[in-house]
Amino acid sequence: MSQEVVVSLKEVNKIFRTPKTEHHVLKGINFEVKQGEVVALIGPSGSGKSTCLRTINALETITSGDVEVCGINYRNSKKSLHMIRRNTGMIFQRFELFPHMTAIENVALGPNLVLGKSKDESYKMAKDLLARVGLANHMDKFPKGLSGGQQQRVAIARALAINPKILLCDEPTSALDPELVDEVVDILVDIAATGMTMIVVTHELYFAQKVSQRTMFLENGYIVEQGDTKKMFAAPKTERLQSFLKRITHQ
Amino acid sequence: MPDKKLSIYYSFLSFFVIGIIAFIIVRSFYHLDYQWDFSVLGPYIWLPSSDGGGPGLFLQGLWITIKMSFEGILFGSILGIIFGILLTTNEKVSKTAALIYVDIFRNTPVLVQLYVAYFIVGTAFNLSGSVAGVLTMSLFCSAYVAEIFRGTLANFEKGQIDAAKALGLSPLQIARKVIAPQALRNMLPPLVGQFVSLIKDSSLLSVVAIPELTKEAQNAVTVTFRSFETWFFIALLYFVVNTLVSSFGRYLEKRLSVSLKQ
Ligand SMILES: Nc1ncnc2c1ncn2[C@@H]1O[C@H](COP(=O)(O)OP(=O)(O)OP(=O)(O)O)[C@@H](O)[C@H]1O
Ligand SMILES: [Mg+2]
Repeated sequence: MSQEVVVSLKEVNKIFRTPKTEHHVLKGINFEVKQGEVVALIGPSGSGKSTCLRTINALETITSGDVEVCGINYRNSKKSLHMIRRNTGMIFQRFELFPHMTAIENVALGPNLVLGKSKDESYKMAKDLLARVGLANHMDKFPKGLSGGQQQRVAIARALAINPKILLCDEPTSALDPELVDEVVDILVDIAATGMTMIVVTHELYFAQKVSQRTMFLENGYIVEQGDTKKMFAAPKTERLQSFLKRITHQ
Repeated sequence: MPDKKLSIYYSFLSFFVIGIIAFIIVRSFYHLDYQWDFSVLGPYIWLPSSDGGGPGLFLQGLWITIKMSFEGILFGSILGIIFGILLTTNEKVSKTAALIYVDIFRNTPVLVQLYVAYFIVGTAFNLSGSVAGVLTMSLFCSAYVAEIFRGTLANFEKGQIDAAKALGLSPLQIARKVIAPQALRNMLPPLVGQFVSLIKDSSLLSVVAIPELTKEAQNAVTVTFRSFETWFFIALLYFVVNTLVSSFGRYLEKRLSVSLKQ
């Protein structure tokens, strides 16, 4: 495995400000993710996991600190923002497929508009990707005609279609019916096995164990504990993680 | 989704309401001591051959109503989109200006706007009644279109934009490929509602002596004294036009939302 650092956050602070309130959500986050690594991000609701993930592809601005993706810092220029988004794919809890486009149109949009490939080429790419996520027979369906699991698989294909170096997943299985979780987990595990760098926010400990080598436990805006996923779950060092794990396995 | 049991109650309730309304109408007409005679309207609809034939005053008025409403809708939509864009920008001055504009035209009676356009602005700039009329209808309509535009964009699902940004689309590509197709569909029902109400409001143009449908009806009543027949017939004409507009809107909505169905 190469040791190149592809994502690095340094002293990242994020404060949501409204005229009346200030909400300090990320309190000096530091971490690095190396190429090919799969990292899980866990923590209680509201601890800032989504916010942290979204700072990486600049869906969220940061208040202070530095975020670098593949050596690019989006503060430098508009162009670098675009390059960061080309290098990252994102999967959302609620899929966020474009409802007015068929599955194949959803997937072909990126190659066509972002990579500048021809329509034919984009559709061919989209076809291959949809086949890869097991949806060869559903390519011309609109999102509403697909099950949650199928929609999320289309969303995965869409994210992969721009050939990202890093895949960001924000609770990819938590909006799914329990019986549909595995089809999505299996595909994400497959993708991880191809050497894709991934950062996965999840509530499902078994998914975190299956997919990731390393886990970061975020609470109240701090990374409270991090380390090898299996070791961490088997023997949590901090009391906070202990009680979090206890709570989540009781549910 | 109402379950089976509930839907029986819903049917029952509808029959009940329809029954009451029917009763009121039948009873009212029964008590009305009036000799109906719709034949007097004939020459107003189609000129007798002794007068050379051709569309009568009602049909001519209907045409003017349709034409002026169409112009109002067209210019109103163009202006409305411009003001709508201003309302959604973050630029303070233009946003406030657009807001004031929209509020003035939405919160004052069209009739007053029409008087101002015709008697005050119209006198100063030598505007004809129809120009002042179309101008008023366009401005009035544009305020509503702007508000519909703003509302639709404000309620646009943020997750969709996030997904498009994450994919690396440029702001222009996001607007064209992701927002516009969905927002257009969402805007259609309120827009059609607005257009229908504009067509009805065009009857106010009668006060500035434009020979549109309502004006022709008033003229006919002063000659024939057949106000019931006249107004029922005029209402029917408005009903037909507006039903056509709404049906067309529903058809478009259906076509645009094929994708949103199963
Ligand atoms: N746009 C925003 N404006 C203001 N506050 C926000 C915004 N987005 C998130 N927050 C706040 O930041 C905090 C962290 O939110 P975030 O979504 O990152 O948590 P999370 O760990 O992903 O939680 P969950 O498990 O519920 O998804 C929350 O308290 C939330 O209310
Ligand atoms: Mg979250």
